[in-house]
Amino acid sequence: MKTDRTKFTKAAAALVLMALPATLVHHAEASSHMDAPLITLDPAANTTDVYAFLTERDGAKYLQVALSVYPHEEPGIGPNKYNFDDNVLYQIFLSLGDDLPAGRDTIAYQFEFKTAYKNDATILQSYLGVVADIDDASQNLTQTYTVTKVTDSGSTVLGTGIVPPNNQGIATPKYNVGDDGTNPARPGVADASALDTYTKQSIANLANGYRSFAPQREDGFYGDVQAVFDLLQLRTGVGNTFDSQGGYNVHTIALEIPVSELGGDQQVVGVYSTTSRRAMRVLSNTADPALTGDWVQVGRQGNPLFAEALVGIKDKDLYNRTKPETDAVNFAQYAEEPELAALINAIVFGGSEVAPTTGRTDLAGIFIPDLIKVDLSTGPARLAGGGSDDSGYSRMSVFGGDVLTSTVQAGLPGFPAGTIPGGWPNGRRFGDDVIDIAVTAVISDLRTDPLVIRSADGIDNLSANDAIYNKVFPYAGTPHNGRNYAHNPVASDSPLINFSARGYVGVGDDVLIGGFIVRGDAPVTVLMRAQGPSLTAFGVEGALQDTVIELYRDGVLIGSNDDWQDSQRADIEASGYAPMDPRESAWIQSLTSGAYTTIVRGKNGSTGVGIVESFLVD
Amino acid sequence: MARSLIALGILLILAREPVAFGHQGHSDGKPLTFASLLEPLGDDVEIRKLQDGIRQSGTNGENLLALGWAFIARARRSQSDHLYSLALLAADSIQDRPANDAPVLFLKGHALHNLHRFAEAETVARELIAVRGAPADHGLLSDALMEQGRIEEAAAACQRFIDGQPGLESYSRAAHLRWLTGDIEGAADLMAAALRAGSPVDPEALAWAATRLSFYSLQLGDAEKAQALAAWALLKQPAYPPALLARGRASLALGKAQESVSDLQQAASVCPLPNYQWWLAEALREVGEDDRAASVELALIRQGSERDPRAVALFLATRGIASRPAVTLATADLENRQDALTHDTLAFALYRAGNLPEAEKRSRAALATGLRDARVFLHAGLIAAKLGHSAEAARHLENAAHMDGTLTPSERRILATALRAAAPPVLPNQLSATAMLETKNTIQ
Repeated sequence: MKTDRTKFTKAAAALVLMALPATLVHHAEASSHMDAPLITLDPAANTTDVYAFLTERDGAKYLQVALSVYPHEEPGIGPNKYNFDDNVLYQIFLSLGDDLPAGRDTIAYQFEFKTAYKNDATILQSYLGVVADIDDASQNLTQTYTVTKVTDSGSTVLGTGIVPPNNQGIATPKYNVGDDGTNPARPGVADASALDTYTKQSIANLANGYRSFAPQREDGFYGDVQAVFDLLQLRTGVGNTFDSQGGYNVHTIALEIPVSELGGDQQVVGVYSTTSRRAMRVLSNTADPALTGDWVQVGRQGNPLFAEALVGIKDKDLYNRTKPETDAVNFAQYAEEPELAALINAIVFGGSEVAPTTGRTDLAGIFIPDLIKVDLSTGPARLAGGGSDDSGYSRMSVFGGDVLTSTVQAGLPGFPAGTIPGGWPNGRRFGDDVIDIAVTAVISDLRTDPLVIRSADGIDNLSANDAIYNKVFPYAGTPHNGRNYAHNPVASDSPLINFSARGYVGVGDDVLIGGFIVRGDAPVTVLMRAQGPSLTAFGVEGALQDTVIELYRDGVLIGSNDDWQDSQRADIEASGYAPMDPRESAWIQSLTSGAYTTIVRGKNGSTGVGIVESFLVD
Repeated sequence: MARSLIALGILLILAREPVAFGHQGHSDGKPLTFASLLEPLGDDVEIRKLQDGIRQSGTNGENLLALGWAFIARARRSQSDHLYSLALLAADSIQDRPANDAPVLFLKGHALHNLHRFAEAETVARELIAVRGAPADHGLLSDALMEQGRIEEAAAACQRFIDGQPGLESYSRAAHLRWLTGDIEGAADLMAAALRAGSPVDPEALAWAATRLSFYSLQLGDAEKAQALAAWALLKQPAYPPALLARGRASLALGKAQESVSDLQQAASVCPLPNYQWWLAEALREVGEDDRAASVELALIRQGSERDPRAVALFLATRGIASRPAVTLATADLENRQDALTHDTLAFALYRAGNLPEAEKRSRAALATGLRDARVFLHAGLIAAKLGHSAEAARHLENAAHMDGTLTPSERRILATALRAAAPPVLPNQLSATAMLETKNTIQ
């Protein structure tokens, strides 16, 4: 691949990327997830993102699809009334075979919700106590849903499910680290058995091997949208990052579809989603007393950023009201002659036509019709998230070398036969950096052989989500805890999120447990430390007199230390985090992204008060 | 004694000061010019930014539209009709777009409607539909038709709106149409759906929907729920006058007059419209502050006839004073707005003026849409009783009694008296529901 980013600046490119929505009409509030004027005022029906990617489990392939709605749910609110709306029909569509190029629907998966209170004679709306299990007596507001598969040949109810509670905090402890409602939300995991209780309990097994899940989740989109709309003063420099969706939740519908249900894996399928509201009857009449009418489509989402960054203001509401089969007529010009490319040329490249502005069949191939195209013939997509194996995964998809091999497509020019992107625009995974990928695609020329790639990697100075995804169904991250969360805390850009702990260390399983999360693509160096004896000097009574620290990942011991001076002494002292007492424990280790647990024990069965901490070492 | 003095004061005011008829768009006494668009408006940052933009880069359709909508947004929060006048001026000042430009027509139509220039708003809405035909354009037409009493046409237009764009805006309009046709439960259902479809991005719209739902709840006899909904609206939009009024009314219905005074005082100070002043005066009287109440009522009379002649007419008729000016005000308003509530106001004013045949005619017009409203029933009952239609009077009065939480305390006293006059004699141990209700009203 030919790469040329010498003439490209982050600030200027992001400026033009986001300049379009800034001129929305008076009553619109434009930001990411706020793409068209009307739907921004209807959050329960406001689609934020659609995900679609291929996985394998027990030798069988599954198409994972997910729809997120309700942008910017503030976790720390009460009563926590973010819910799916009973008056909204949520649909995920697939286009197969000849329907794919035409943008026609082949299958619709419909999700309809019902809301009930177990006790409505109380002001305690969502919770009556600590929720031990989903749908127990403490989960007052409870939503259930029905999943229906609709094709030309008719409708089939695949099953029903229950919506787990939102993550309020103390009322919902099991979402959070250590099943403690005061702790942050649990990071994602790679093993289904390690999912939190509520998630495990509310994954619905439907007919024909489908599974569904419809909860509040952490918003998996990331991007510095704030800076774009703050006079385009984008952040630069190491650590100076901002995730505008950081610390917010959304509501997500996830559906696991057996590929066998789609007629096999030798095909490419298209995925998009819509929301529809009931058209109520204004007045009843004796001939037709029903007060509810037809469903009316009010929102649509396919590929990320299409409506935001390519479709003109005057057509944004039209986009939300129409189906992909009319995209070629209504919106093709926005992809083939993207204003965005022209703006980039004018602002970034000094008027030179570096980014092709016409005949963009490459972009039209992605966006028209606006379906996320997923090749089912490949191996499973590589995923970001909890667990240790992110090998081969890149948030930049093909632009980061993350590719898959198709047996039904010729593949990208200049690559071995069948080579296609590992992530968006071949499907879209949780973690795909869609802003960086989109700008890269626009300024590159993907029509040529070989491709001309001009990378926009790092355009918004943000390269990771603020939470860790799951590598197992439902893939979306645990919802942020309303009691313990932050929107872009100072350390939000740090690759290390530390959960230190102080407490009593007993014997057997009565140990002191801490932990931390490592984020980002690159390994980081972390110092883990346990202190006990030195606490006496600070007036702590009953301090543990000799510590041992252990580090676990996915339940596997990957390191330990007894006395810190036994090894790495010079490095530990140089770090500035050396323990004060030689009986205390510390060591330094390079770690890749994931969730880690630190455990402190007393040496030889000793007990007392200890502290466990973790630090990022430069 | 105090009430007599107030009545005397009102008569003196009416004798000295000519009453301005019609809703002309209050402009604080100054004629509006283009410069008015750029005058400072307190601490409204958004409006100031837009005004600065116009000063720096000149006027064009885009920035005048933005300014016009900013005026309307502020007007909705503050209930100031002066701001609607400014919005209309902004629309009329746009020179660089054709006269039938859809965004300009949309702004103009909204301003005209809120200035109670309903026939003009209808004309603009019809032009807008011809030019653009967006679902919201039908919503604007529905609004204009509804206020002119053309309920079926309004419902048809609203149906076009809701079929094309279901959501808070269309649901809430449809809810009001259901309410106007007597389907209070259906109105409440739809307003609840509107609330669920709302967004924190537009808290005023949420607050408005919650306030209307509060009113429906009060009508349905659930004052606690009404109070809670109004409180919720105030969380969304602090110091929102309609929600303060709603909470004050709910408090009064619950017999918590002292509690209601602070809400109503705040509402009337932000929004010195006759309806707000009337409820404040009622609350003040309930807590024994007759002098303050009298002062508020004098302000209502002095300033209100231009801003809301219907409310002033109804106030005068309810007080049983100045019946001829009340009829004049209501008649003038009916020329502009032929909805059920205006017919009802004129009916009651005519009743007070002794014109019973015409009062009955207007009362029947008010009831024709099926509207179920305590005030309308009370007036219909009083008129029917005076005409000697005892059975009809009793039916209307009992209907009023079943939803008396929406009446002012003084109206409830009138209702109690009327019920007492209409009720057949009963033995002490055989009190009817009506009499029990009457007793409750008397206690309140």
